Amino acid sequence: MIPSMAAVAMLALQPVADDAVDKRRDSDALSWWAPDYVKLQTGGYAGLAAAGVGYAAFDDVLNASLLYGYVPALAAGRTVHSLHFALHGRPVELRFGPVRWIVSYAGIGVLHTWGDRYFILLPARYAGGYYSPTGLHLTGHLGTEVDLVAGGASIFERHGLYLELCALEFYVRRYLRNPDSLGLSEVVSLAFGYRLAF
Amino acid sequence: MAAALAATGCLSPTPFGSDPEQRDLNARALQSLRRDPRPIAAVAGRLTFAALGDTHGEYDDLVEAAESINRRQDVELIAHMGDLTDFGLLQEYSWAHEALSHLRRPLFVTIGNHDAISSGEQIYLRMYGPLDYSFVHEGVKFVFFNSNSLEFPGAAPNERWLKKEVRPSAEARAIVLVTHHPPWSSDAPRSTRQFYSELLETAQITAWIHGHLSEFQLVRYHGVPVLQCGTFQWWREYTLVTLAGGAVSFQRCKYDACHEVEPSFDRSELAP
Repeated sequence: MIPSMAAVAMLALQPVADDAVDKRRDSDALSWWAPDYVKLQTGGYAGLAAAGVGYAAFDDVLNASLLYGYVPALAAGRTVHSLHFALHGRPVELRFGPVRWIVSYAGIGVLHTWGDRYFILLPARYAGGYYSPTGLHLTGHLGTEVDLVAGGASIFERHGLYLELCALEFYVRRYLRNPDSLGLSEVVSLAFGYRLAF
Repeated sequence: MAAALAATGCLSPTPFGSDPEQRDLNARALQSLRRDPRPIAAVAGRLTFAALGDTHGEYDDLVEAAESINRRQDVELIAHMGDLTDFGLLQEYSWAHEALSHLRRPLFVTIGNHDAISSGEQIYLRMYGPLDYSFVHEGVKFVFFNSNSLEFPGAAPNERWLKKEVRPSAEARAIVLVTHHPPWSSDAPRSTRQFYSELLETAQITAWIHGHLSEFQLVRYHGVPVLQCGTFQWWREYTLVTLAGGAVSFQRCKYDACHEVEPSFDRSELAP
């Protein structure tokens, strides 16, 4: 699925003249219920390879996305499947002709994994509050994105590349308690991604 | 972008991995114990070790405690009662190891219940080795065992293995059990608690040392001193245990400030 999506995206890359650029951020060209973008990502705790869809609201100022992430056992010691739901606010953008730069965006999310001894609800054998959920962790994100606005009759609105720092809330708490032992680089993960809006 | 790259150093694909950088740390500690000379203040027929547990995520203070233990001239080894982590995550194991690597003497770790959740069991097995292990040093047999009955239903403790390990032997004049839970743990089924009671009554156990419960406590249980180290996360304490002849003594330490402690009461007299 991932290679074919990338191929479609490459074919749709068509630079356009400035006067042809739609000043709206999100046009809902397909329909209101159809997802507004797809994403491919690596890193950022979401997986070695992650793919998903998202919706844009308030003319693309608010994004909600859901990524499925996969890490093979070769890379992590065990096969990891995860889901990452994220909400991003992206209020600031600069435009340079067909290029649109979302200078910075920020957000929060929930990272979920499953498997033996990962749980959301405490198994019945434990007393209430014995453990916090092991299969859910809160995340925080800070990123930047550069989009190329697609033109012509393409159903695609923009092709974007983004760079994002993802922090696990639990790791950040550890960092704040142990400033001498832990470095900031140990509590965040960098993500690279491609976002195709339509 | 450059700043972000410099800040992170890598793309971490998941916090849920189970492939630690370090391997077989307990076996390596044993090699070190057998290879290295005894501490300067060690005396023949006498052995002192430091016990602490439930360190969870207090790495800065753990480094300080490690440096305090290093200043002692008589500590042969350090026993960790488990709960290095909160969520059994690889990064937590790694941070705990980093802090504990400040210790100059060999460190032996038993698995705590928090270390066993998520992918913690797999990480522990790779990083520290078997869940149950024993060794003899200076005539003292240390038996580290997995007591996490809730996380390993039907498999912990390994009663058969434990019974075999506490049999009298010519090489061991004392037997110390090191585990995460007390022998009266409410996490264990009644049959397991009964097994522990029988073990303490019938075998020649010198001391049972454990963590898990927050308070420091030193009691007798079926005639055996049972040391509950007290959660390091709350109290920043460790205990020095000294075995000399058939006797065992305890010093409770908050960093460098130590004082002798005695068993306060006989817990066997309480309800089972």
